[in-house]
Amino acid sequence: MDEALLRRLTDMSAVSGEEEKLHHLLESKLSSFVEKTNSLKNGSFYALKKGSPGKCTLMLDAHIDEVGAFVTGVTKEGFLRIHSCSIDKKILPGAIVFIHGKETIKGVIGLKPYHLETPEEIKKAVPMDKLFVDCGMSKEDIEKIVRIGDTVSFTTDFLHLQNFISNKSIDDRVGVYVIVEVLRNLKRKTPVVNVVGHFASQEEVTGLGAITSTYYLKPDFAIAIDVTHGTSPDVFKRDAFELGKGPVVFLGPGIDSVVLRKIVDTAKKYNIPIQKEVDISSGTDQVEIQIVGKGIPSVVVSVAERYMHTPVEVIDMEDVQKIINLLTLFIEDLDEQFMEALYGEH
Amino acid sequence: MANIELIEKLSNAFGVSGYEHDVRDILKREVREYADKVEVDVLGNLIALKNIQKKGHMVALNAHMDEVGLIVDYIEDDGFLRFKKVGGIDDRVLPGKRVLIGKSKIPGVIGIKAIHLQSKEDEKKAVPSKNLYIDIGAKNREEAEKIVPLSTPVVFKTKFEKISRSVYIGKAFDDRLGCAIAAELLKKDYNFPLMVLFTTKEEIGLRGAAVGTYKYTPDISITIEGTISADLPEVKDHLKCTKIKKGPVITIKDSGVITDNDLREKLISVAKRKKIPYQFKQVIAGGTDSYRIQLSKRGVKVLTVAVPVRYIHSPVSLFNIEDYDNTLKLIGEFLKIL
Repeated sequence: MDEALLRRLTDMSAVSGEEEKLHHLLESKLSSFVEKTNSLKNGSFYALKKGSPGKCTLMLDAHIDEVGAFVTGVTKEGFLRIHSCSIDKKILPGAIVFIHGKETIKGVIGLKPYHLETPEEIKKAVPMDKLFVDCGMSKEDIEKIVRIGDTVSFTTDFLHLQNFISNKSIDDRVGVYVIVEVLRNLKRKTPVVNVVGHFASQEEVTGLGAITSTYYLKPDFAIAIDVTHGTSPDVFKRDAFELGKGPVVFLGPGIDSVVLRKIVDTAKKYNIPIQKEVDISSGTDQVEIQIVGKGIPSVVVSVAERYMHTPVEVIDMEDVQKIINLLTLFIEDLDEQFMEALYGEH
Repeated sequence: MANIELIEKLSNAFGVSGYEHDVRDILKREVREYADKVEVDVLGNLIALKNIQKKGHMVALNAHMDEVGLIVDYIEDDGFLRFKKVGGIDDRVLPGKRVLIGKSKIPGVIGIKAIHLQSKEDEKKAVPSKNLYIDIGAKNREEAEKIVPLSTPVVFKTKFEKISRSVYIGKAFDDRLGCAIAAELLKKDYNFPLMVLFTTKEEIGLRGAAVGTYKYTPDISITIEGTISADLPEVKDHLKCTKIKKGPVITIKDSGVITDNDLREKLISVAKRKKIPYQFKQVIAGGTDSYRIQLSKRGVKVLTVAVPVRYIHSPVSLFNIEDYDNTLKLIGEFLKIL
């Protein structure tokens, strides 16, 4: 396990639309064990590991963008107004954030003292349009650095909890990390298929990377690696998965049954415990990937993660290792028979 | 000028009410060589005395060492910690924050149901602190209990830092800024007896101060605070309480004290003469240790002077170092005329 890499990946800021910030790190990590790497204009990045005979291509997809907010205004006192569609406003008061202007600066999301509010107001979440970021600067000073539209992201603090780790944007840098490690593992045995690692842009907002890169890369089948909800006291058990109990495999009408069966069989064959998530839509890049071009057989494998879209997301590294093993073995075990089954049905 | 290093050390230190040991150790080391005598009393107050052999009225400077925080009161079967608040914390600042637990500073996070799983109603409602929990990554109660026994105190995991010119953020500026100022002032020379009282348990009802001036009772006491500033968007001017960058805050009246009229006038005239900016606390609310101290024995004349701080009692507060410097200067100049 290369924990330092996961740490670097989660420490870096790249709100949707700013994914190129991660490209250099990916390039430097991947170039020694794949045949090709490239940055795409849509903000995605990909790495190609050639197979032998390599008649088919498998795409492993994880998104590199993270949730964030945007600056929507500057008050006359110099506070920034912000908006976000992906962050729970309830976690913002009392948070420290980065503002990515001409330079990256830090600010505090303030809250009015409660003696100035009615007992009713205190019980409500502060609406996004009442929140503000305080950088301790006047309007004149801050406008030299920050413009409307600049992104705002969580500050970072990689923590070792007792059995787990925590940081911002584990969603979905852990998927990115898994793909890097799987590509690294493929050095030991050349796969029969080409494997393209796709590090997708804008999953949190538009699905741009998943849609347009898939069209460009033309994979024959795909696996999206993302996070799903982990258990905690305020979450229904049926909505969430236990940390440490293994990869979560997604089941439902949007999933390709042949690829899914092979994943489940691989887990069984190698004694890798898995958990099963059933829903209509996975809410991941897979939803977009499936309907690109002639259609792509695709599945989702996830890491159970607590407190998704907060600065304190929590996962178990053992689950991560199990996903890396599962996907590596899945690829190593692919054979002509599987390809026939896959295309026999499509 | 401000001793930033000391402020940083104090702000980062662990000191929930009743568990002020770390703060007390820092302050003890800081003042030891400048004081004639340093004592710790029954409630944990740190008392440093200077010039006790000198005749004249004794002056006290006081600041509280404790900070608001949490205390673990229940552990769930699956290892999550439930907590109670120590001091006045707005529930709405808690979700999604990092914390440190107990002496060994075990890291934890305050979780919240992911936005994807919330109903429209959930989204609009603040989560009451009794429904929140701390995740230390333990797999069950047994594991959690071994690391975090019940009643272990919890602080916000926030590092002191400078974010723009003259502006610093961190936790516990209420009242570590007061502690730093009092410690700095003790280092100067005076021709009257001086007592510096660093109190405990202020945030849970001014408890340390209630006994802190019993053994040594000053004639005059100045409470030095980091006080609420609400100069924020959409707050009416007369409700801002105090404003940052507008200088030391002088209290005329709060919920428990009317500061001594003569001394306050003297303090104001010093500010005017020395051209130190100052402001009055606008809201007649909140109380400080001066409430307890004024009631010691036959009574003590009190003043309250504070550095304005935004977002006190939250994981991260903010102040301007110019206000700190001016507060230090104002009290320093005032002591010269006594």
